[in-house]
Amino acid sequence: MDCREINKALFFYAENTLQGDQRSTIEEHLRECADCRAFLLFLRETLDNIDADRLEKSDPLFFTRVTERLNNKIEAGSFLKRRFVSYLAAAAVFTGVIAGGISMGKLFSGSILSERQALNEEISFLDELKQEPIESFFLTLNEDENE
Amino acid sequence: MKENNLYKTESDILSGIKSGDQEAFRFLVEKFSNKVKRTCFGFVQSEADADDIAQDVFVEVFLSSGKFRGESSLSTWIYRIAVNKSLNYIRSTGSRKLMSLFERVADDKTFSPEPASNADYCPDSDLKRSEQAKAIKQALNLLAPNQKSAFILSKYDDLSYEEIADVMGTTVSSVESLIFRAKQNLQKSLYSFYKKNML
Repeated sequence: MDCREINKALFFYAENTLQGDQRSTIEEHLRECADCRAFLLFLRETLDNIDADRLEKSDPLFFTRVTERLNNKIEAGSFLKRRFVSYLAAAAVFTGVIAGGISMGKLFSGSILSERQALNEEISFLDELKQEPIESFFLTLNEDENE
Repeated sequence: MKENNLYKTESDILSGIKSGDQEAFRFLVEKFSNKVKRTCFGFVQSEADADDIAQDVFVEVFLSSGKFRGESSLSTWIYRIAVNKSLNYIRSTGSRKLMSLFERVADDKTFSPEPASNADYCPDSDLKRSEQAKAIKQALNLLAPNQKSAFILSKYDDLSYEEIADVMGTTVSSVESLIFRAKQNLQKSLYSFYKKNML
């Protein structure tokens, strides 16, 4: 096996998860190759760092920090709820004002229409008078009487 | 950690938390804090960020304790929250870094690395450790979320494949495959880093 092939398996070798022929092949190569040995050392030290990071550390103030964050979150939630309710109330008032305005608008536009209707009727009555003026009416009446 | 005889089972702990018992919550936090921090650290490779995320995890646990149906164990549920919070943090940090990059380009600031200072000096062994930490951080960042989660739960939390499958909601064979691929990809990334920085 060449270095490239060996390198692919070195991670597993460093973790001691390789067995049998594959393990012995790698060990044989490592005896001869200083470069691969150096990389193996780098891998082992890097993996050892992970193990070191797993060590348990005591942090007596951690719970205090957690409860402080929890309380802040709960307070922020209550604040947001109050703000939401106030926005809802404002929206309700606004909607009420608009609806009231529309209703009043309908009310007034109804009375104007009836006045207009009356005016139109008067106009049409006056137009009818124009169509048949009073004088011609009387003239027609006299002609009927003479006959 | 002080053992509290009142909270012998998981349901005891949860009942306590749901009824507002602060001591039950303290018991839970003390029992799981190191595990959660370790999981979060595996994802973000920063103690400060891991602590920050871990706090959020326990806040979530408290607020969602009423929704826990007991279909999985309490630890599985907590691990699940920790993994999700960590992945969300990475996603949002990535977006923030991208936005920051856009802002810097828009402001026409010279985009160059910060100059080295005396604070960067450290003895050889610390430098080596720092380089190794950087190597694993970069290598982990390149992993797909599923591979990263499986590897971290195995390597940092020492969970069994069955436990990891429970946390991730998948099968044991999927976990085996994910971890195998994660190690292969880590191998490649670490080798690239090694060739670039250590030779």
